[in-house]
Amino acid sequence: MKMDVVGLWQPSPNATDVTAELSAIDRAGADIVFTLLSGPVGVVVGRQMGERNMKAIAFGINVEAQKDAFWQATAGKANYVATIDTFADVEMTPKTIPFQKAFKARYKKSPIYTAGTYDALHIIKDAIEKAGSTESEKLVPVIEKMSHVGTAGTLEFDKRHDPVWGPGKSTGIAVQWQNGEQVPFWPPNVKGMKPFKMPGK
Amino acid sequence: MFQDILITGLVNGGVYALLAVGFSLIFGVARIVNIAHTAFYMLAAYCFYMLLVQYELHFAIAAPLAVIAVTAFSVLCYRLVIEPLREHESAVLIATIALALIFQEAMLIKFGGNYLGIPSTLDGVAVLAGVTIPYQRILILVVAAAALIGTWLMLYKTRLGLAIRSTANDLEVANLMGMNVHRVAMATVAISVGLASVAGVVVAPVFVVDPLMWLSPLVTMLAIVVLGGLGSLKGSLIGALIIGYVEAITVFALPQGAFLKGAVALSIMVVVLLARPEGLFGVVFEEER
Repeated sequence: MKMDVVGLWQPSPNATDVTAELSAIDRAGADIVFTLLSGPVGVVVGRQMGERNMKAIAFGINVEAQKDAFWQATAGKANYVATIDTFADVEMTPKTIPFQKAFKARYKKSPIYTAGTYDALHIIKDAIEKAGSTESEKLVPVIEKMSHVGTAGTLEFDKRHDPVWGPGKSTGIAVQWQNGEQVPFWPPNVKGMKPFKMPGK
Repeated sequence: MFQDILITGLVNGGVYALLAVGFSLIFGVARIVNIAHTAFYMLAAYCFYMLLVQYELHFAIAAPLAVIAVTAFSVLCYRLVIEPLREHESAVLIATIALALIFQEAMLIKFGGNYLGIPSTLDGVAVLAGVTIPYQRILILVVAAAALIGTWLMLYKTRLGLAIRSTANDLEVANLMGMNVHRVAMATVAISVGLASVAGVVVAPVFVVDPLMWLSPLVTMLAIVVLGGLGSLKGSLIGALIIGYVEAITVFALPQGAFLKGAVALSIMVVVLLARPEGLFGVVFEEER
């Protein structure tokens, strides 16, 4: 599949209006708006794309779209906005759904990427128990060999100490807003995923 | 692209004008640099949100109620905080910064830090010359134009307007002529914040409501009033349109630097000030005074 990059727009993370950017994106004939957004601009992009009935699909990272409050913040205009997320009601691992439920019961909202700290703490705890020490020199070799089945995926680390990304390891979960609901749709082979929808269908 | 710039610049300029004209008005009349001006704009947006979304009042009731409530509150703030300090301009400046921060923190406590959305008053879009414009933006433009025309009529066709202009022209002479300059200043604060509240109410449905929403327009508004000439209403109006258009042109001409639109607008202000330290209409304004 051939794709062309028709333009690159970089609004401020605090932008309260992206009309000019969206007009320019419309003019450029984009089919996909690949978003890399954090901050209030994520709400503004979602809402204003909906208000303009843009045919292009917004997909990428939109931190605000990970939150339950996104639909209200966009006044229900952000249908079809998609983002990579960390948690959803799907079986990424056997721990994902129980964690999701327990988090919602305790905090009255869904977890976003920040709740990944839970897995990080368990990795450290397991490493301390195995190494019998809290010294980093002794913990690092243990973590390097570790395969931790966490709440968001199975965490293993490469030679550069980055998480190993890929199916069966750690991928994140892609979600799309559909009529006020955050619907998980990727990775497709995971139990609980639902179909992605296109505007106008 | 030309049509996009024309319409985007006009709508953005209209919103900025509502804020800048009010700010300039109160400075011109009472020499009050009201840093809390855009914080009142934020209060109006929250008030509108509360009435419309939480109390589910009709738009036609919620919008005027929000404007009236925030305007009345601004008069209270003026009487309690600003009026006692009026002789000390720097103290007024600091007091209004404090007010703005108090409003910000109060909204954070009451509504939390989440971004809030307000439903559009008018749904749907119009396509003009190939440009998609949501009806809400057309409403913003119409309301901004009506509010600015109303302000102009009030200033030039009413006795209150005459008193405001006289006070702006020479406060001491106006006082000697028997005008109650404190009341005139209070009325000006109400009109000024009224305009900011109108901006808050009409703009809130297209922007995001959050406790920090007053900061970004404050910087832009200060740039506009300095560019136009501090205290000059005509300067504020033209400055607002200039900044609105400069921002729109920046995004279209420099897509990868869209985040720089505010910086470009501020740079133009600096360039204008280097050439004309009094701003675009500063001299005319001084002559008027």
